[in-house]
Order: sequence, then C-alpha cells, then structure tokens
Amino acid sequence: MKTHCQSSEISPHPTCWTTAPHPAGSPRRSKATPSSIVANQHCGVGVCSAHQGELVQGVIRTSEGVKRRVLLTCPRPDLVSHARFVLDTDSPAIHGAEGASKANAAVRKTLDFLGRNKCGGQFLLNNNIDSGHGNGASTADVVAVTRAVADACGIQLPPEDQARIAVAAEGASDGIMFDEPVLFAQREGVVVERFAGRLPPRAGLNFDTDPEGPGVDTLALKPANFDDDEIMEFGVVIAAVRHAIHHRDVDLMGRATTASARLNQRFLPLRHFAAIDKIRQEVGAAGIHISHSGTVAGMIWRLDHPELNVMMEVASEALRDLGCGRLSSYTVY
Amino acid sequence: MIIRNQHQPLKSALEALLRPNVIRLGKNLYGVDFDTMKVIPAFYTAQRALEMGELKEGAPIIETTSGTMGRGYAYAGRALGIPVKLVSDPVLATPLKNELESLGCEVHIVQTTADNGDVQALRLARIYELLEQHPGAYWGRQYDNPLNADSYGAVAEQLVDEVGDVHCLVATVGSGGSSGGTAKYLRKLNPKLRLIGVDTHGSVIFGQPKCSRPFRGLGNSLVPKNVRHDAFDEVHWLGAPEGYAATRILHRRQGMFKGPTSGAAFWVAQWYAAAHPDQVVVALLPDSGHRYADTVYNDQWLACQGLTCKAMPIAPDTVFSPSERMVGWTRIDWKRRTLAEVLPLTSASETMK
Repeated sequence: MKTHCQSSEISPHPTCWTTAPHPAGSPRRSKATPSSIVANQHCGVGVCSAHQGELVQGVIRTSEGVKRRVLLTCPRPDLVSHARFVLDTDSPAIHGAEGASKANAAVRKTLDFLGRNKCGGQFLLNNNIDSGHGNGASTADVVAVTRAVADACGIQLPPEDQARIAVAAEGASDGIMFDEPVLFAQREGVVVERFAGRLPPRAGLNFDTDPEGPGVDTLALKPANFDDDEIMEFGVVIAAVRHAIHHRDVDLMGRATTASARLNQRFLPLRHFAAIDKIRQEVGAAGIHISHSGTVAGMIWRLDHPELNVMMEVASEALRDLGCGRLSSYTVY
Repeated sequence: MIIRNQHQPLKSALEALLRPNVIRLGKNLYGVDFDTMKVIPAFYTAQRALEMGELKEGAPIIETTSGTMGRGYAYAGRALGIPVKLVSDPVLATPLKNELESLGCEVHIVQTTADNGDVQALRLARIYELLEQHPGAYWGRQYDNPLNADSYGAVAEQLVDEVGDVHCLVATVGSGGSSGGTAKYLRKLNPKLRLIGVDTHGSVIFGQPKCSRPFRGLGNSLVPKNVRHDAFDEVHWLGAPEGYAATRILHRRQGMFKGPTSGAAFWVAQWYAAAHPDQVVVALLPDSGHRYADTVYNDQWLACQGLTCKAMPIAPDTVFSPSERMVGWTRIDWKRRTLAEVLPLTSASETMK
C-alpha cells in the first residue's frame, strides 16, 4: 500500500473543503515540493459514523484452534465525526484538540504508515457523539482523522488499513470503518469473516439504559473470558448472523443478537437487562442488542410486523418508564 | 468452528468427516448425513483433553466400544497424532476391527463365555488395567463425559448456518450426546425447539423394562448420565422390524445407504414433518449402511431372524406409560420431564390396572 503515496499519484479531491476558512490559517506550502502540487493537496477531510454498540460480540475458535475476540458493529449513521487535517511537510509536530490523544496517535500512525515520517500537521474534530456510552465516539474520531490525513496525502486507504491504524492508536477498535457487515477481531484489527450481503431490512429503536450515568471506561473493562461452552454457543450465534444476512431474515438476526447479549451479561451486565428482554417479548421485537463497553442498546423489528408503529411506541414508553433515555428510531429497507 | 468455503477444496479428509452434508428430504424435512457421527465427539473430546492437560503428550486415548465410537477415536487419533487403545468383545465385526487396526489402533478383545453383563465388567476391568499401564492416558467415557454432548455444538452451528431456524430435531438416543448436545445449542436461539428422541423396545433409557434388543445400535441397557431426560418433548420407540424397514425405505426413496438408526430417525421425522407442514424438521442420520449390508439390507437374513416387517405402520400408537409392553411403533408426550417424574406416574397407573 505504501507505493501509493508518491506525490506523482496525488489526485484532486472533490471532498476537500477548499473554500472553507482554514483552521490553521492558509495551508502551508512545502518548499521541498514543486509548484505542480495544487493548494488542496495539503488539506484533507474525513468522515466516519458511530455505532449503537454491537449486534453480536464474543469469542470464536478459528479452524487452527486459536481463540479470537470478535464483534459485528451495529451502525449508527446519524452520529458522525468530521475531521479536517492540514499537512505540514516541514515539521513532524502534530497539533490537535485538547484530550484527543487517540486521534493524535492516529495522525502519527497514519503519516508513518504512508511513509511521511517527517511530516506533521494540524487536525480539527467535530462530532455529535457522546463518549462513554458505547457509541464508539473515540473510534469514529480516530477513523475520521485517519481518513482526513490520508485525504490530505492524496490517498484513499482501504478499510483494512484504517482498521490496523485504529487498533494501533487505540489498543482495540470496532469495525465502523467497513461499510458492509464484517466479523471484526477488535484487538488485532483484522476481518475474520465478510458476510455475504447487507444487514437485513428492519425497524429499530436505539436507547441508552443509563443516560445520566458516568459512562463506562473502556480500558478499565476486564476482557470477556468465554469458556468452551460459551465459545460453542457463540459459534451458533455467528452461524445465525451469517444465515440471517444471506437470507435477509430479521427474526433470526434478532435471535442471534438476543442470544449474544444474554451470553455477555456475565461480563458487563446491562442495567435493566431482564426488564428490557421482557419488553422485547411483549412488543413482538425480533431481538435486542447491546453495547459491550457502554450503556447503549437497541431493539429491532421486522418491517412487516402488523402493528409496528404501535409496538415501537409501546416499547419507547416502557423503556422511558425504566429510566432509559436518548431514544431514537430508524428504518432500514 | 469450520466454515466451508464452497469455492475451495476441503483442507483435509478429517474436515469431510466433521462436516456432514445436510440434505433436503422433503418440503420441510432435512437429514444430516453423517458417515460416522461419532468422529465429532471423539475429535472434540481428544482435542479438549489435550488442551486441558488431562491427556498427556504421547499418552493414549482409551475407550470401550463395540460400535462406531471406536471408529470415531481411530480417525480423530490419527488426525491429532494420539495413540488409541480400544477395548471390545467378540461382537466387534472383523471388517471394522481390520479398519481400526489399519489406522494403528490397538484393539483389545476380552474373551468370555459368561453372559452379557460380565462382558461389560471384563471390558471395564481391562480399561482400568490400561489406565494403570499408561500414566497420562485419557478415558473417553462417552456415556458420562459432558464433552461428548458439547461437541455437537458444531452440528447445531452447521444446521443454523445452512437451514436457519430449526423447529424440531429428531435424534436416536444411545449415549444422549447427539440428541442432547445438538438441541442444547439450537435452543440458545430457539428455546421452543421440539426435541424428539427415538429409542427401541427393551432399552431402559426412557423407562422401558430391560429385555433383549434385536435393534442393532439403538438404545441402551443402562441409563447414561449424558441423557438429559428433561430436554425431550417427545419420545418414540421403534421395533427392529419397523426400524429396518424404514431404513430400506430411506434407501429406495432417497438413495441414501444408511444404518438402521438413521432409518428410525428418518421415519419418525417424516411423520412429524407431514403432520406439521409449517415447521422445519431435522433428523440426525448417524452412520452409513456398509456395516449392515449382510443384515439389515439382506432379506434372507431378516426372514431368518424373524425381523421382516409385514405392514409398515404409518403413524405411532400413543402410550401413557413408558413401562407398557410395546410392539411396533409407539410414542409418548415426554414434556421435558425427568425420568423420575415420568416413572412414578407409570407405577401409579400400573397399580390402577
């Protein structure tokens, strides 16, 4: 991939905010590079959406007998992080927002990955994602800034490389850099399996089980140590996800996400889990899914459910009564 | 977990043994076509025993068997590089013994003139002898080792992968491993899954009074710990003539050359599937028919043994007590009860007569 980052391959970027006022004043022109480079080559943008926890998460045993922690991210396209980056070819210093150390690390890793060890720059982040609730705010920032840096260098990084950089910057990541559903090994940053198709059409309700709470410190979580029996059960869950995606079967998808959520209660119990599971049954939802490092969760229905709107209304009411908040609904056709 | 990539050759012959074909046998009926089902628990048990350190490097796996469990360990042991020592009695067919020895297994045949019960005791005594001689050896104990049942999570996984939601599982019961294990993992997704166990008259597993069982490879003269009675919704008993005839029907109708337990499972499953057209029904078909070519597939032998089926029953008789005297094909609504919960009712109804 590094062969792509020669200046001769730099192409214009329609996504670049060339007319917007620049955060660091006018982009600095490198004295080392000749005038063939146009102004916007030093400035890049990147966008990445967040997630509503994970549809499933657990441990698998590969055919080589190796245990791997894997997850399938539940996309949340309405929560996004925008990043802008201005490349500085003269100095390796990186300037960014206060407290954005992971994003800072991601900028460095991306530049190094692209062979620009001597370059630095300035980044700006803007997002509408609350952190600490399991929406993947920090990963969205990291991926957005990685994309912005690559964009500034005139390169489109494949999601596999974005994943590797995110894991190097954060220690663990989720799979939001992939547009299609993948089984993602969050500690190695690699795709274990690509599912054949998109997530099934569904209606969904997102919520936060502890909206006023302090959130969860991801790094303080102890890793879920699945025993052999739980690994076996999770294998069945993944098989259900595979079949559900291939056959666009929301009911089976819901069974898989519910089974996975239940399996993980031993490691990070979700507030009101039993009560939420009871609501799921009462409102005829296909399943519930949770965050494995936060307090957010969701419920999904099949689109042809005869009383969909009423049921979603009843579910919202019941969830609010439990103390859940930050509710939002969506439909995927 | 083995995910078969349809566009690639299998990685090994073992993979073919561990991943059976799931075959559609009717509108809502599937059969899981195992060559030797017991390779699955044998491989999993041996692998886990090594991993947990209960089986020491270089030490043998030991098991007592006169059926397909030995074949399972023979192939699993070869694949994992583990020596295998099997204890059996003269019932063990010569072709199978040759196959096992060709794979490098040590087959110990206990010789006796005494009755059947003593053969079991002698086999057990030989097992203890071998365990003493080989420190670090591991005894498979298929009847009470929970690893036996747990190994069938792989079958549940494959079924969900290929078939999706399963509503009813039909399995013959010998050790309780395949029926209980597959259902346990399928129920993680669908707790309402209906489990139908298939047994034979004279087998004590589901409370029939013990007597001689002409049906080869089905039932048991003891109740294995691995049988979780409260997992079963329904239990059927098939006699040898009916089971064998069903095996021949499966052969003619589907071109599947299977052993008699497969025939029994198929017959019960096709009956249930026809009665419940909105449910997806799966039957586990444990082994191939090659070991039964001169018996189950031989009309003369069947006639000599008096095991010819005159009229194949199309529906079972429902019984209310497992200890009733039974002929032909019978069933009971087990309702996920323990054996103790079912048997007191039995003795009560018995005294009422």
